[in-house]
Amino acid sequence: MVKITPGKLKNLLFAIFRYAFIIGLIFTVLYPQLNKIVISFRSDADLIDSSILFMPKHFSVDSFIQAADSMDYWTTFLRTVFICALCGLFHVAACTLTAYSIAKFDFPLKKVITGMIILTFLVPPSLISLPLYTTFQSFNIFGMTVTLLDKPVSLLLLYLTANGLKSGLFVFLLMQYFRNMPRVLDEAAEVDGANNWQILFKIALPGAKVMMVTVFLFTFVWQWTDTYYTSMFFNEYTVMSTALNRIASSFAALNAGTDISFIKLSQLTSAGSIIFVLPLIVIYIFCNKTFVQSVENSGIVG
Amino acid sequence: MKIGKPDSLSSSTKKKIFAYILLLPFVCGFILFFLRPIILSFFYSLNGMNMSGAKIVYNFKGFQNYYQALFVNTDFRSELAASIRQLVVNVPLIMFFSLFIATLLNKEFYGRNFTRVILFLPVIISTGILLQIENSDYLLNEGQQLISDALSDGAASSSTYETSMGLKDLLLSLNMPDKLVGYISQVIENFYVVLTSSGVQIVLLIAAWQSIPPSLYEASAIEGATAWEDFWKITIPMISPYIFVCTIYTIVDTFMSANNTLVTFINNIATGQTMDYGLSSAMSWIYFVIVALCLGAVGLLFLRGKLVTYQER
Repeated sequence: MVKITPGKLKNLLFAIFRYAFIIGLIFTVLYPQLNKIVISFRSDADLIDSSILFMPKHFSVDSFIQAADSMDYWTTFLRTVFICALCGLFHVAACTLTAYSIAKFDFPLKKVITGMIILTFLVPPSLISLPLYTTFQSFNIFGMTVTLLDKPVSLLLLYLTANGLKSGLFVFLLMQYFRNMPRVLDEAAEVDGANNWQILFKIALPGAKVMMVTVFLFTFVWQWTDTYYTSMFFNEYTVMSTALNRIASSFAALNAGTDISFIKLSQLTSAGSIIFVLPLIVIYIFCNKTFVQSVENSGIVG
Repeated sequence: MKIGKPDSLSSSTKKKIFAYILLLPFVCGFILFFLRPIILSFFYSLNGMNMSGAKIVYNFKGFQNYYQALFVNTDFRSELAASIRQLVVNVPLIMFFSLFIATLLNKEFYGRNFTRVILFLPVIISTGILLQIENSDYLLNEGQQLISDALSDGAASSSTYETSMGLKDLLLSLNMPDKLVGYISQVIENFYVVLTSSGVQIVLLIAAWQSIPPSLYEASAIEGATAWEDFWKITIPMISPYIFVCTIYTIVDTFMSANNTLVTFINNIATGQTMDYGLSSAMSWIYFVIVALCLGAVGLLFLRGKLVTYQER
């Protein structure tokens, strides 16, 4: 027979408390998503049935089909994947080069540049949104004025210059990473006659592969859900986030003449956000280690 | 090796030039997409702007827009106060909560990794448009309750509101001070926001905790210290730099989050019916100054108040 000592009892109680609490937390995080799924599966009749509290009585995938139609899903999906992937690649390149330069070299303006990066992180985006809009509305290339609104170029330019969404954060992460990379390899390569470009491409970048993948994934995901840039720059040019934002009005336009209830539109938003977030969930399932570990690494480096 | 033909540039000069070349894209972008917009926005905030045809006509107003934002437009002040109140309530909460969860998840147990992955999930899916929808959508927010209310002529109040009220009454009947009760009920209402904003902080704090050398705890165990003493005398000082970083991150994140009503309010001034760019820019600037002051205050509190312990290296 197992003897129950006060110490064991304490541990057992603590374990029970911990699991109860953690299950509660997980439930709180997942419940809204679960709720969206459940709402989306309701048939039209279920929507106005007040006896339904959670699970639908008649399962129906209509709302998903309607949401996909309203968002023009596949076209928008492919376009957004393309843009987000490009943004990610550009962002990786820009952030890595900036961070590498600051972390590895000594030059007179180093403090100023670091200050500039901190500033881009601290200034609220709403402060510069309007002038940014006018900048892209009449973009000046060597005296020629073109409008870059409704074109993905505007977004790409921001990412290519590390002035995009949360760029400062990524530059900082990478900077810490490069700072902690052993200098022995660089020095050895230098002695062997490698030039700066060779050291960068043959030693530094391969070593920072994990961090670069992280920056890519975060940029991809955050650009996917972003409405700050997309609603500012894109009007006709539809990406996933703007399509989801306008799902109610596009559904109404597709079904002109019929009476659409308020509740139906709300259900459509739920179904829309499910198919909107599904690709991100798939990415997260496969890459959650990369996401979580990158933050961990930054913690250890400090 | 070429002998007798000296390199035109020394190695250190070459390195400096190389560093500048790598920084070139960022600096160009900074000037074009950050510095110039900031200066322009300050210029806008000092002007009244009218559209005459396709051209914008500026008329210089000095600091009138600022005056109007602070003393004439009553909504702005209350929105600003609400935003700051939310910050004051939420930031300490998020920090305490993250620290608490980090304590729970620090020790190895079955399902630990899974918990971490789930708690980090909001960083991925509670951003941007999804956060906006979660905050504004009718079905998601009120659930089935409100629908049945609407069907039964809206007689009953919504369920979440009711529980919160019940607790409030209970606490008030226990003679607790009004302010404390108000704070507690705000905490409960904010719990989901706190939970979804803590993903990065939790993971960061756990990592910081894990990086504390075990020898410190071994030494304290030999001296006969309790777990409680370990926590305050070893853990907290050792992870204090990360607590500081997390706090700064939390403040910035709260200020820029997509569900910040003040940002929406300011944007509406610029894009809504009024189309008052000048006023909107002035409000943004006031907001920015307050963000900066908050960060400065927190920085002073942590660094001057000796709340951060930096190890000698």
